[in-house]
Amino acid sequence: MIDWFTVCAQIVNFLILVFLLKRFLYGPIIKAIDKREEKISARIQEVEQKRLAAEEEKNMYLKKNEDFELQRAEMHARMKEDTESQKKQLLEKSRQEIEDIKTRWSESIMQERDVFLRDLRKRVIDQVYAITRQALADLAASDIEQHIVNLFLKKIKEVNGANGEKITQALRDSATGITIATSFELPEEQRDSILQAVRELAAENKDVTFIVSKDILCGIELREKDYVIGWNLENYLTSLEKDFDKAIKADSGRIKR
Amino acid sequence: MKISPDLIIFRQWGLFTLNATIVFTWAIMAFLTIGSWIVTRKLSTKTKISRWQNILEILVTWIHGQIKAISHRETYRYLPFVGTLFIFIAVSNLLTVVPWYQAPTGSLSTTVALAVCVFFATPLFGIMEGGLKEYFRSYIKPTFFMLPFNIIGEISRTLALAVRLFGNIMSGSMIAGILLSITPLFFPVIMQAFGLITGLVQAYIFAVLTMVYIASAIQAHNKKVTKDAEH
Repeated sequence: MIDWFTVCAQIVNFLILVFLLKRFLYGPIIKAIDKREEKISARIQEVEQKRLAAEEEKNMYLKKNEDFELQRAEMHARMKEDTESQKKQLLEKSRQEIEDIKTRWSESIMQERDVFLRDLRKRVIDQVYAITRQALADLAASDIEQHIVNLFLKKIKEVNGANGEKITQALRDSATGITIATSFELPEEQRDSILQAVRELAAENKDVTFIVSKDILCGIELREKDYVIGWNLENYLTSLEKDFDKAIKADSGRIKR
Repeated sequence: MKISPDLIIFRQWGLFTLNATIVFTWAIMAFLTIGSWIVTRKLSTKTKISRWQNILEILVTWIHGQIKAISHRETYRYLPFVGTLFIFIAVSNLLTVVPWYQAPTGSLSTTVALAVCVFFATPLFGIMEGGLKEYFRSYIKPTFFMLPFNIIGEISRTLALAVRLFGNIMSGSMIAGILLSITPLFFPVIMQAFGLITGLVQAYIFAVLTMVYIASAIQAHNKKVTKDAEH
């Protein structure tokens, strides 16, 4: 049954077949499988790497977004703050401007008031002067200058007492001389009577100078270095002016409120 | 009717006999080698592969899987030997559908030759795995008295391997032949179909048993390694 030659031949055949199949079948197939697995694993690894990279990129963009959001919020807050401060500044500026305008307005009112008062004063004086002159002329057929001079002479004569002594002494000792200032030109007659009255008060040979002064609105004054004796319509006017001033101030106070 | 293809002699030069067994073995060898060469000469390593490459890959990975399941080793060392046993026997048995073909596995000489190969390969692999000393020590385990039994077991299982395959294949052809003379039309075809299944099963049994023997031979070393690891 068993052909030993065939057995040997078959053993050899089998071993050859093992070698051939190893060479042509198992070797290449295993190599191909290994290579493919390697490729697949490499690809998986690559995909994993790409995934990680993508993840990283995603995180980066998320962070960027977050940063951007934060920056935006910050900018928004800063802008709000700036706007608020600018608004405050503008308000302050407007308030200041209004205040300035108000001050200027008030100043201009004050100026106007002053101008008005000056004007009023002048007009009043002119008017009073004219009225008085007219009234006196009509009533006693005398002029106002005469009355003023009379009033002045009366005042000089009334200088007495302790105060009068002092004045008299001052007039006597005066080195500069005595000046009689009037708002109008004095006639010779009146000058003489004034000269006489003054010399009676001070000294016989005292120099007396007559001048017409624009400082005096309506009146006559005896001027020495330290003393002034006289009558002036300005005194009444000052009082009137004070009354007006008080009234205007009350009015402007009401406006301010 | 001839019981063995050994008896179909084409040429004879003294001791050298060119019988059907050898001729058909050569034919199978040529078929397998050329077929493998044709398929594997342009293997693709990409994900898209040819149908034949796919079939061969399935076959090779399946055999490798079987070997791994039995030996518990992740190695390609046993694949050419065990794989070739399986493929050779399977192809040899499956080609019985071809007219005038004589399966070489139907010859006791062939199965003995294969069993002899297994007989020598088993200790060879055992020695390769754990060394000469370690392998031969497995024969006197658990006691020295087991030595004769182990040797008898070694020889008898080789003999059984040879006779089992021969018996199955030879009987398949015999039954087909006998049935052909009794009921010529229908039964032989069925039996032939059964023969194909039997042939495949036998190839699988032969290969698996071989692997089991090899695994038992390398087991001794394995046990020692495990023991060392435990200590």
